[in-house]
Amino acid sequence: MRPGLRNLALTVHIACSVGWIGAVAAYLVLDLTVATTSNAQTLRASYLGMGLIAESVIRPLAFAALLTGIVQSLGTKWGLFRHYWVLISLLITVFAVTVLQLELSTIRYLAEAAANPGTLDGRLRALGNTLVHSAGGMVVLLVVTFLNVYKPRGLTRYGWRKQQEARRRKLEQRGVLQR
Amino acid sequence: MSDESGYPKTSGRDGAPERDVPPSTPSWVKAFGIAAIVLVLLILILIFVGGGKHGPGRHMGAGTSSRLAAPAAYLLPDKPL
Repeated sequence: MRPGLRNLALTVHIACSVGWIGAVAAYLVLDLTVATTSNAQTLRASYLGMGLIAESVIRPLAFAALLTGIVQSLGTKWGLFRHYWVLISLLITVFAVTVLQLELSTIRYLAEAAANPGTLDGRLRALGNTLVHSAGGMVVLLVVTFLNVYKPRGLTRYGWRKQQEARRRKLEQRGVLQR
Repeated sequence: MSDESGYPKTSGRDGAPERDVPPSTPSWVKAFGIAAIVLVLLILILIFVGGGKHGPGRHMGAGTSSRLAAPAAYLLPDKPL
């Protein structure tokens, strides 16, 4: 990738990733409200908000972060499978997006129950929360952020092979030039 | 996310000196692997203890219909009076 294009791709990737964390933080606040309140109106509003945030903000940002991350890895010398921190970040992100996709049916169910005027307050209070998933999701995203900022050392076998090949090529080129 | 340069240095960055044998797996990767295995086992145990109920089903009370289009399901008592 050319430097200009690389910076643009990096900007989009950071915006999507940070936006994803921010959206999960907003969702987490509503989820905590659901877990702690017994006020039916607050519960109804929180479930509706959770549905909107998950469907309209978290899902698109999660997919965009995954996609831009893959583009960013493949478009630079980091590669997708060469460094452990990139590979683990990819695996964790794929896992997070999969769990999110599965959890969306639950969130949709809760939002529909809250939107239904026929849902009694008692039934609404018994619906519960999705704190395990939202708090777990936040932890997972922070772990990925940590990996991406600190970039802990470690080449995979594939990365090491590629590095050896590059060194060999460089030495061969030098040898040709010296002759 | 990458750093400003977006590129790793050709040597020294990964602590892998030039040699013919591949570098061993870093300890932090092993720790990550162990944590992942523990987490997966914990999730499986939680699902097993919860009677296999996972997804929207666990948010529904016993004996209620999952169809939200029918508000009567929420208005009717579970047992006949």
